[in-house]
Amino acid sequence: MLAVLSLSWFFIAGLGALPALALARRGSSSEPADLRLLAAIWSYGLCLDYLLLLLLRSLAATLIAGSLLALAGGVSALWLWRRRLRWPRYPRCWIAGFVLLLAAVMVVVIDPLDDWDARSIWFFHDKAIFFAGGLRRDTGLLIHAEYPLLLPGLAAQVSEVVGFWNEYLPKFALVPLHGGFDELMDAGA
Amino acid sequence: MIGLRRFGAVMLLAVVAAGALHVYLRRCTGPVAIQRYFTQSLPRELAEFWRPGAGEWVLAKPVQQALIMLRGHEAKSFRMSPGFKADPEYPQRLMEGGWPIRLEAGAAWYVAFASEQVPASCSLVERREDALLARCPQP
Repeated sequence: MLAVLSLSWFFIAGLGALPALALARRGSSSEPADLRLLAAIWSYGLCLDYLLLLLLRSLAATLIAGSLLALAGGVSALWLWRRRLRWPRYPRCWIAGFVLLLAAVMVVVIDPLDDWDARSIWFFHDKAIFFAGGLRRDTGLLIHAEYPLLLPGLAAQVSEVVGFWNEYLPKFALVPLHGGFDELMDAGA
Repeated sequence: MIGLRRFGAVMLLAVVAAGALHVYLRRCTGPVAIQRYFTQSLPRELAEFWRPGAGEWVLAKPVQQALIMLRGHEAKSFRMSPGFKADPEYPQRLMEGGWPIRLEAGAAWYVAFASEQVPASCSLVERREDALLARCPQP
């Protein structure tokens, strides 16, 4: 199951590679190892995943369409940038970043949901989306329905991938959304 | 390329870093708290991490028991006693914890504290230490 969840990195990065490739072809001189480009790819990936969920309204359809797009984006980016790909200049910094990232993942997911807003708003929306199978009329976003659904949407996709809901695993969505990649970026910078 | 031994060392370092960070975030001060964390809390959480529905031990006892009873009787909706609604935490936790069992004013299933009286028109279905479940005629 951890192996399946770890695919989320490739899912988001592959999705983000599509707009990055489109922008890079318009004369951007960014190198693939440029940390700002990697951060942009990550942000594009999250936004594209959210857009797919809002357009398709179904978790399963979002995951299938997203996986196909991520595969296409990731393979295209690796192929088109193959001559510019190189081993990181400071491998120890990347290893330190990887350690921090793993530690952050463990710390984030090892506690069950406890805080009021997390339970009552963000991850309640996640639960409602998961049990409804997507964003539908009867999804049941009863509390603060006007709040953005990026985090709940991601968390619901995590639950959809593992196949059940509990009070731990949806928090995995916080890692790609907030801390983990930032830490990796900082460590690599 | 990174060797297997180095990879193992990196993973071990990550686990130690995670443990240290978690101990710090849990505010486990003192050797007893740290020992309890490693011998009780952490093994329990790691054991239940992969179970569907796991982690409800953070909820108040009456809420946990009400959820078990509602699920056990395959309720689709429920309502609460005035006593249960008096503290905002109980209805909130029960509503979000029980989802997709919906909180509805006219529901047949009635949740109350174990110490409360069941309304005259309702019949007691199950009583636990802190909560009870009754079945009421729908209006």
